[in-house]
Amino acid sequence: MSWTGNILRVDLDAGTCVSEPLNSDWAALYLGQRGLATKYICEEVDPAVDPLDPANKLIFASGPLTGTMSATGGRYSVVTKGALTGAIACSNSGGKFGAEFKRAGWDMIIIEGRATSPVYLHIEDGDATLLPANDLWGTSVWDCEATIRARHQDPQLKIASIGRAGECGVRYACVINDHDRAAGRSGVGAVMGAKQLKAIAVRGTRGVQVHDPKAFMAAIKAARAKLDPNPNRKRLGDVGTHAMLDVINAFGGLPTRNNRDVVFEGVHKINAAAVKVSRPGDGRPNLVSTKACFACTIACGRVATIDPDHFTVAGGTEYKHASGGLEFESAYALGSMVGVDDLDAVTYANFVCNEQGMDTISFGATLSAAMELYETGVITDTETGGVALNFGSAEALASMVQLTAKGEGFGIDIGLGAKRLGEKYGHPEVFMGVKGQEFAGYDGRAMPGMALAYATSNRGACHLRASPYASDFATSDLEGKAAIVAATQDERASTHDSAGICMFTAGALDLDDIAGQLEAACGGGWTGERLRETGERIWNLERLFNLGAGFTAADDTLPDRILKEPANAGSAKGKTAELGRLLPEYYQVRGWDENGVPTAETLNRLGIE
Amino acid sequence: MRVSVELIALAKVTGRRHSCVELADGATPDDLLTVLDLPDDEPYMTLINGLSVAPGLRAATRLVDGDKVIVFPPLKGG
Repeated sequence: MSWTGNILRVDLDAGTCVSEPLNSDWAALYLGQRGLATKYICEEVDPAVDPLDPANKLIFASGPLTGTMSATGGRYSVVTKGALTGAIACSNSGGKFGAEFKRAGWDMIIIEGRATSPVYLHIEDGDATLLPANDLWGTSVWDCEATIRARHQDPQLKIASIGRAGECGVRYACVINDHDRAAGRSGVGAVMGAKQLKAIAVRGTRGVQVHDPKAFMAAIKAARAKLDPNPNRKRLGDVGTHAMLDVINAFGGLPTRNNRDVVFEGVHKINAAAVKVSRPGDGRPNLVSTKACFACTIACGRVATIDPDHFTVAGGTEYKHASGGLEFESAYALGSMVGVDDLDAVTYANFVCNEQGMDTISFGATLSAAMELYETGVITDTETGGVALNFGSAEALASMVQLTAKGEGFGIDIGLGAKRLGEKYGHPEVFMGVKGQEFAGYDGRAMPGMALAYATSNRGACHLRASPYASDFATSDLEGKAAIVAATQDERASTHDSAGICMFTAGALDLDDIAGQLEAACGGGWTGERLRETGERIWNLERLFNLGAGFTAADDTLPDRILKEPANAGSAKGKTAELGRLLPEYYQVRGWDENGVPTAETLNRLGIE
Repeated sequence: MRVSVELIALAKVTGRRHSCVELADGATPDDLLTVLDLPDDEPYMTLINGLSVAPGLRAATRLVDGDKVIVFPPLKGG
């Protein structure tokens, strides 16, 4: 079966790396990746623990299809208690790292304790060793990867690491693998930094065994027959997720200037069309090429360059090279949310976030909150060190992204995240998010389903935990939206966060398609219905962790700006988010009581003790 | 009557992004989609003057001269 059956447990206190068998009973219930790692976290970590305490654990988890020939089968997740949120955190990434550690023979890597000095973990198939990383501490992700590969004389090493943001405790620091693929949200990189673990470098040569090879080949061939001609697959390769920028702006739901506006007048300068226009400086467009993750047949990844004459490039030669380009969420957070329409400055900020391991969404949204504080006079040049934090300032964006990533000057405050920043300066209302995590690029007033998805997401505001898009774009009628949010939360929890494949297969592959692959890979009777139930089980287990961490139904809410201030333009002009009607209906659909607590009947049905 | 049409994330399919379309009086958004001759392999979303018109309501919705229509495929977030 395509679980390797092995877990690598790394004790940073003792400096040991020990193999142990995977709990196969849990794998049957929670599948892999997000679900299975959450089960381990719930069993081993006190939900009340400080996320940065050594008692918190950090799990790198693959899914059963990770490392196989399944289309897009290269995903892995980092699961922990989030430094940004204090809630369960699960950040999913692509690239090649996940497949590599699976092919080295590990389903999961569990990191516990805290090293007394910086270390990195080196894995060659079954051999795992902790090595000193004193010389790597203080380096960027990009330099760290190059140094480790040179040290081991192995250009094929796949590396996941933190940059300076993770070292200096930026609350939304992320883990970056393969140069620019991010396990981005909730501050999983800050937890890694607190453990003084700089990187994991792995070579895997063992491959992945499957339960029924003949059936597996047939199942992935059938899936490819549906995925390959799918128009959404072709579109993602052509314009990436970036195309959403025009859609959501036209819809009147693009968060702009800290959600004070919902339409960005400068969108045409930073959209998917703009990156293909030749610029005057060197005659080249921003977008150089696309790229794909392991086993991916979609290739939504973007590769971009900055105009060599742009002021940001003077900051370092590393920014003159092609690197990870803009996707929708980064274009929103580093563009409209801060009011910046300078494509090169937005691309530069994206580069720096990748270079130093920082979530683009939370950074941009926190800078946006700081800009509101600055423009309303709550903070001044005294706090910002003389940087004028006006909305629309490309210079402020470029300056603050460096200061934040390196923990310097006012960047230390930006590194707190918008919730803590607002509270520090006595204006918590500037935080645009839920459970400590900043919104993605959709305004909840224009998208009622997304508003509910934000409010109920177990990892704080998130656009990836549910899929209310088609419903929200079609109608603002609330009828049925609670059920859509709950159902898609369950589907995503199991299929796209726990199986090891990418969420961008959704639309082409349904639950039965994915279950067919899993059954051939793992055996044991996987069906679409079992996958749905597995997702529901995962969702409820995450909810229980959060309740144990101190969250209550009062945290399933939205900022006053979204609930009380009508949108000033677009399809929702004059409207606010109607969470008051949707939330009770959602609790009912979920089988939770009026306080948002899963009932005993629900837990019994799902087999959660 | 004439309506202006903006196609988002469909340029590669259709080879155009903005256009003006002549329609008979009383035409519906469904009529417009037929004229646009888009591939029939996915449902399209429509905004008319910034407001969404659900696919099921298109046949009962009348366009008027000068309407601004945006057409886009069913994108999902990422």
